[in-house]
Amino acid sequence: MAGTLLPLRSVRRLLGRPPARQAYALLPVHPYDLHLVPRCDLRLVLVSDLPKARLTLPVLPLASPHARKSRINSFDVLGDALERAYNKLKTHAKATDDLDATIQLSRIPDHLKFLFELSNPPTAATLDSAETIIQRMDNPQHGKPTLTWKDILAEEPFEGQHWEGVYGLPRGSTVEGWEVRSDGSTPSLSPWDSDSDLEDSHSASELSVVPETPPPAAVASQRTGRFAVTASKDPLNAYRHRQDVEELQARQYWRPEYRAGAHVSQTFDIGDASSLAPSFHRALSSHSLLNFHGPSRENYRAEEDIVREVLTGLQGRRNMMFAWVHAGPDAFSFVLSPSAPRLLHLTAGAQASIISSFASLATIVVHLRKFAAAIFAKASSTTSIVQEHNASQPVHLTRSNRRVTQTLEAFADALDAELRAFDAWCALHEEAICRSRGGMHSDLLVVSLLSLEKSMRDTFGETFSVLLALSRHVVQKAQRAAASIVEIWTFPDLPQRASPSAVTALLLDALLGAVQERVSMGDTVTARGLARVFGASVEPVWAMMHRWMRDGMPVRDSPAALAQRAVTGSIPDEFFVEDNEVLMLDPDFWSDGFNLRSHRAGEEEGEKGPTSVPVFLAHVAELVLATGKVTGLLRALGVSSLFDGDGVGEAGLQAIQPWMSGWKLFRDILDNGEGAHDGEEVVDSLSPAGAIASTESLSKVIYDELLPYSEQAHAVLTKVLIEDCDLWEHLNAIEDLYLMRRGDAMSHFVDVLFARMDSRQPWNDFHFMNSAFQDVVAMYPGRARWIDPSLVRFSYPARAPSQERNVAHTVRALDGLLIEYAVPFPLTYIFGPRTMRVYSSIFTLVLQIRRAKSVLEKILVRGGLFGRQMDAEMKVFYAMRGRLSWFVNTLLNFVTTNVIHTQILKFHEAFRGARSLDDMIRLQNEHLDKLEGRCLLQRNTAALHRAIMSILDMSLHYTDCFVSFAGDTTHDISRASLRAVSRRSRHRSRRLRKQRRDVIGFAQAPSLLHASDESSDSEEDEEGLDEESLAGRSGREPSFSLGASTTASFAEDGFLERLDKMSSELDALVRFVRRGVESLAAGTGDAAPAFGMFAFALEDWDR
Amino acid sequence: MSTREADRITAAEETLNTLFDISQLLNTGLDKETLATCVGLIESGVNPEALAAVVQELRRENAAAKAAHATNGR
Repeated sequence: MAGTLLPLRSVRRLLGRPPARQAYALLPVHPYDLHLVPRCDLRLVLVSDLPKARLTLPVLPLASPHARKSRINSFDVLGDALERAYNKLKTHAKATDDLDATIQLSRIPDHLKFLFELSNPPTAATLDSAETIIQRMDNPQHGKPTLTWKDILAEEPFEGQHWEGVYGLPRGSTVEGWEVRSDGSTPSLSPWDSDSDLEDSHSASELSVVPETPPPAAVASQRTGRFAVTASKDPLNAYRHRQDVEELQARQYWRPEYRAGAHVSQTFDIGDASSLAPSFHRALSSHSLLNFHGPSRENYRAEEDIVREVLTGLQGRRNMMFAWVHAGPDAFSFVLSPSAPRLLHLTAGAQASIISSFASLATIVVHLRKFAAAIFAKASSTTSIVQEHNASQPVHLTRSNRRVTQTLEAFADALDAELRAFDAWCALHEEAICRSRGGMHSDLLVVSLLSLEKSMRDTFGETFSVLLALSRHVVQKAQRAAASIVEIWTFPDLPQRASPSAVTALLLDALLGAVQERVSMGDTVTARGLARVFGASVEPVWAMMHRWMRDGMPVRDSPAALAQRAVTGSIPDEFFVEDNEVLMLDPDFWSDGFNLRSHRAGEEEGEKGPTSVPVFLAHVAELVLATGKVTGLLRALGVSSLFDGDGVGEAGLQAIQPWMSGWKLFRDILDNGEGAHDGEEVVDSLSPAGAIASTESLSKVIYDELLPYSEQAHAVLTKVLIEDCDLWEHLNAIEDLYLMRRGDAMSHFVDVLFARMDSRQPWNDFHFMNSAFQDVVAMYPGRARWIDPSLVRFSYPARAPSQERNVAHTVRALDGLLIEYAVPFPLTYIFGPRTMRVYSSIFTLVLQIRRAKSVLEKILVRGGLFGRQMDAEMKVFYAMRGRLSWFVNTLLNFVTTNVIHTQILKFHEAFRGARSLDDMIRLQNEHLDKLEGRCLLQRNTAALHRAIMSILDMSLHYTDCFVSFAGDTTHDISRASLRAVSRRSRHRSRRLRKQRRDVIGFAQAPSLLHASDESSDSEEDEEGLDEESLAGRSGREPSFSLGASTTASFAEDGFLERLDKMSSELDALVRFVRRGVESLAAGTGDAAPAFGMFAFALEDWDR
Repeated sequence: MSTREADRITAAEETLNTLFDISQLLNTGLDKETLATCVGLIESGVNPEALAAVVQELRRENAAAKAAHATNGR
């Protein structure tokens, strides 16, 4: 049945419906569109059910579909309203079962049916009316009072207070009159209306005679007036209300026509203070030049009224005393109003001076009020924008809108709290005046302008003026304005000139400075107020610190995440930690990922240190930064022990609680700080400014508060690094490898490398080096592998052909060898690229020395093979070899023993005591610096390094000389191939010599012999040669051994001269090195002892 | 006697008010006077469906007349 009736209507409905809801409508039988379904239900009910249900039941099936339909269409209000209206009708129908009723209950289904027939889809107006209907049902304005009054009157006609005024009046005893009086919202059907029509018009006509009166008073008087009229027809009574109005008006001192009833004409009487002003005035007006009116033209008021006006004015409301100036020199301030009333007992000048001090206070207060309001407005408008555009707009756009910092908002809020306290205080005083005037004040109350000023000063001190000056200072600094900005409330709308963090720091520093200044002046009242503001203003930054330390740094492991984070900005702009947006896996992340902001707010003063950190937080800033990083790293590593609380049991304080849950509000810390300082001398124990009194003690309090958290976090991280990340294993492996601490394996590897060099094969081949290393490691199985060869990679960067060096001629060819050791993730922060670089350079140095050593050792100088005359040459060769190997061995000994070994021992000891990752990184860096410095690898010892390299090169050159000199008599172990070649020809020695000569490139570099001679000459005069001069003197590229041999040719000069030259050159070089080392040993650095040993060893050169 | 009468009037008024509320919620477009008239008619035994049809018919005609003459026709 339903289906047949469906189409027409529901289709029509569908057309008028928003498309989104068609899903419901497309159901084959949509029950809520079936207006006729209820009808059949009704029939069924009527036939089958009890008679009692006949009226109530139809309502439900009719009601619910509509209500439910409304709900489906998301008109909950409408649905509610419908249901409740139906229920109301139902209950009403049940309640009244009256056959004579105007609306028969049996007809109600018909009425409803009629309404349903006419129903239309809801519109906005329908929804509005639904709301009003619900509201009306929730708050019924029942006409019950009518009944209760009647009951009262019926029961006890002449008892009760309410009869008192009415008694005896002719018609006042009627019930109706009381009804009017008692209830303003009489229903229109009330019988009073019909009865009192006559009187109403009567009174209205009477009232119309009376001139119009101001609203508040008029309403009251009309009410009383009407009552009077209804009470009596006495014409005198008709005007009584008017009299009341006049009386009330006469007491309104703020009216211009108000007269205080003062005797302005009385002569001056020294016993009567109130005669002062009028007489003064009169005296002045008698002066004809002064165009003064007589005192009668002046407006005099009682002092309590003036005080009340001043109080009103101080609260920023309209009053008679102050006038706001919009332009001119006094723009934006309150001045004494020209029309201000006068006091009888003060002269105009005295009064003006008193009032103007209040006016300036009112100005200060109103400026602060405007400032706070402007910041609030900005804050709320930005939040609303953010909410509006939350979904549609990218967050970074909305973020850029936000210009007011949280600290500034907190400051404004604290300011507002102070202002409200001030307003409340003013209101309280006003209330006291009014109560006292009404006789409700039992104590004697003195009301005068001066007493007001005094009590105000006692209560608030100079809080507001200091705050205003401070706000102006901050605004001026933040805007980098030359002059102070008066209209500070425009600050939120001005373009942003300083970074948020700088503004924050500026504000907090200024606040703290003001507090301390006031404390030191003993102005406790002002200091207390300022301290409150300061405490409240610090809270946002404090909370940021908490969040930072608790949640740690935001961790990004991919560039995409980085971009996203950069947009959402997990670190507020005003926080003193800066996000440099470095990826977490970047080795520089730890050191550079997050830093303290270092913008300077006022660069013209050349302030030291970053101004983004408030002064009192300067000591803890690094601590906070480090703790946040540690927390972030721990979270990134998934180490939960710290956050779950079971981590460091011994700390105890967070044994059960989650991480940092015991965080205190800054306010509480201030209070504690005060407690801690109780015993100290100057500080007033009652003052909450105790800890604030000095920045140091405040810093100390904060530091003590934060230190446990920091220590705990660091301890956990250190533990994790050492236990879970195998820190020591990796450290040992690195040292074994780079510093050749693992002597056997590394010697083996070095030998393999040298063999390769000697065989003139490319030793720096990537695959060769790595596979050789792996083979070597595999040869020493041991109990545990000392290193995982897969973590190690040797590489030798390809060079430009011009830089190509032959490893047979110079040890410098080894420069640039890079060994990488892949440490696992968190340890990369300790062993970063710099570590690898420095270690590699040390490795290279040791390798170079060993290369020279091995080359020298391979030569076997044997006597007797060449006969007599050769013996002499051989001796020279022998001596030369001895000198060279002496130096090389001394150097190697120094580097391995006095530098590497000693440093490793020291470093390990220090490293074991490291309590945080930062400590470890610092120690590691120091260790690197020391190693580098002692190996003469740093820039300032470049000259020494070059000299050493030259000596090492000389070793190679010497070997070459020897080989070319001795030919096959050389006992050259490793050059098997060369020997094989040379054996083939008879005249090998000559040819070999030629070959050697050809192979040696003769560079045209200036002879270093000269250079070093010059330098040694000059060095005689200046004894303490510093490293700078060392570096500068031999700044040219001293290609030592080759340079020395430029002029020499074996063929022409013979070996003896050659060796002679070499020997003197070596002598010069070694002396140069010795002098350099001695000067280093004479230094004050901690490297001096090590160099002292080297210098001591080099002293043997002369012996 | 008069209180009983008043009660009755109040009850009727209340019912009428409720009906008016429902009428508003259903967006029937009836004002209170019209509703009171219609309720009166139904009380007198008029078939509600027929009455509804009449009202709609009247509205249609009214609209048509307005459209035709652009004048106010009742």
